[in-house]
Amino acid sequence: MRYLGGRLAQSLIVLLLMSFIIYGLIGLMPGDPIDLMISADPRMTSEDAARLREIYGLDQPLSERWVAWLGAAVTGDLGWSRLQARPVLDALVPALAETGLLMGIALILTLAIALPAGVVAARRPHSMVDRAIGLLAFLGISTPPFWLALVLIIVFAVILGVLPAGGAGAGGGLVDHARHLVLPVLALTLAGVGGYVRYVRAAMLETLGRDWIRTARAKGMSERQVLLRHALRPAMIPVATLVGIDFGALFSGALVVETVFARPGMGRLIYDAILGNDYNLALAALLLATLLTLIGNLLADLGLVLLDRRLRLGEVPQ
Amino acid sequence: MSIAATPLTLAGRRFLGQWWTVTALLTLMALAAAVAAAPLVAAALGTDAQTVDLFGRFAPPSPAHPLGTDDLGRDVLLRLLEGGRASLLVGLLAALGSAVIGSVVGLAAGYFGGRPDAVLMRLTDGLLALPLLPLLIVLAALDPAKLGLPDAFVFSDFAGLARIVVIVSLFGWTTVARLVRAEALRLREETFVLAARAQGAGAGRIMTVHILPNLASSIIVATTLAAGNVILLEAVLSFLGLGIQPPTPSWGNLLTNAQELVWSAPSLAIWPGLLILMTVITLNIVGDGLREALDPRATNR
Repeated sequence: MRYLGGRLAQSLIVLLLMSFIIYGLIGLMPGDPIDLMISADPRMTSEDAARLREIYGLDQPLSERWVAWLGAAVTGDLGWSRLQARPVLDALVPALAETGLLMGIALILTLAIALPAGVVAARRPHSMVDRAIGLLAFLGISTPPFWLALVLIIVFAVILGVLPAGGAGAGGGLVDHARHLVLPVLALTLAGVGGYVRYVRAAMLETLGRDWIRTARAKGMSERQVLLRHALRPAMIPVATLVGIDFGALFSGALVVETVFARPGMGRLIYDAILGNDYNLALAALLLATLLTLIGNLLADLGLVLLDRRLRLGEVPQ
Repeated sequence: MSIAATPLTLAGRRFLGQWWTVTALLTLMALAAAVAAAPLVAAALGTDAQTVDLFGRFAPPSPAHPLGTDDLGRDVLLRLLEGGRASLLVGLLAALGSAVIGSVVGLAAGYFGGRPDAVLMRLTDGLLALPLLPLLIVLAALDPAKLGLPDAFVFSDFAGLARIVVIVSLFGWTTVARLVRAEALRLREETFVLAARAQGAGAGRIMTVHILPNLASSIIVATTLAAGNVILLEAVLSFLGLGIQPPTPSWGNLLTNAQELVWSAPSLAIWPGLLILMTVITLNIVGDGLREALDPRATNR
């Protein structure tokens, strides 16, 4: 528990630090909020602009503006989205649900493919099966995800015409919504699964070389029991770590996939907000992405504690 | 009797002894040569990558246009080769940038150990855990004029290239740093380092003269493996419209155009992706091959 407490404090510090960095970076983007405001009124003079700047506190130093923003954000006030003409929070929630669904299904599918594939490959290293799985995984990690998405569109939407090429199926029923999810989930899964397969295989190979595996075999346990009971559980520890570390990559992947498939999720929202000078929305969305990644990391740590008995006893790994 | 083999020739033999690494290396060299020869191909075809021919849109492959033409009647082969120049150049420069940053961080962390090591490695891990792409987009969307850079630089052709190289390098160095750190951690306990320290050599001298040369093979391996990643990052950014800007082609932005035309000319989307895939795969294979050749102890992970 002490271990998790430490990780929680660390994550909070990272989040604060990131909020300051992103706040500063947003200020360096092209355009200026006051310029955008006064462009609506040609009678505005430069004195008026300066007064507006003062009213909105934009003449204050960066650190003070950040503190003010943070104070408001903690109370749930993230400001107004210029592009979507509604409070930032209202714009974020539906996008987050959309992306969460995409990422969740893709992650489950990734693990459902990678765990058996990695175990099978590790069972007979350098066999034909291992080589075939290794080759496919290698192809997977070398393929640009957005291109994969395009190829899926060409095959399933353009040539076969069996699945929609984009959109979220808004307005349609549950079936329609699901049909729109198939290709994005497939693209996101294929983009990440190769790395996981390689990792599961390496972790399994490592545990299969341990003493307790030899003992289990010497006791006359079946190979199946050795693999599933004695090797898989310890091998899951590094895999759980990878899920946590890889959460940011999964989010990045979702952003690309959403852009290619024109889905109204977080990825698309961040992209549009940044390019459309929607400072409030961009800032909140980027921080939410960071927050989610950190939560993903913490959940993976929690999984680690559940898997690793040493951690539960309060020992901190190096 | 033959002359005793040096470690380098042994490594060379190990590397060349595997047919797939040799094939990958030759493919990579062929790609680079083809891309470098783009002006020659243009001269042979009597056109260039930018020439628009609105009467010859979406032309099928022919002797004049070996891979056909795009939506503006531009030659697809030439645009692919020109795009490859941009993508490979950015990849090469950003991989070198990543190598420099990663080596400095890894060397410092590994040599000093203790607290500096803990801080630098936390930073490396932290960077890996962040949602990379949104942050890259923010950096790519920054207004360079607001950073206080002179206008003459901001509006030059060079600025676009330099910007993407810097952005990609800023996130590409972590692999290099990890490998270099692990190696530096081991090397600092070696007797020749202890001997140098006993003679009164300072930290700077030990790091540059005694440790850095021994890191060369790790750095080369890590850089080759990072290059594949870096090329993927550049492609994604250009695809999203934030990297190399049209009309200058790059493999990434050729795909942006192809996506809009996916219903009328799906074949346009195939070539740039295949070339990226080929480059990244060959780089990864060569990197793995180099690792096994240069470090016989390394196991294939």
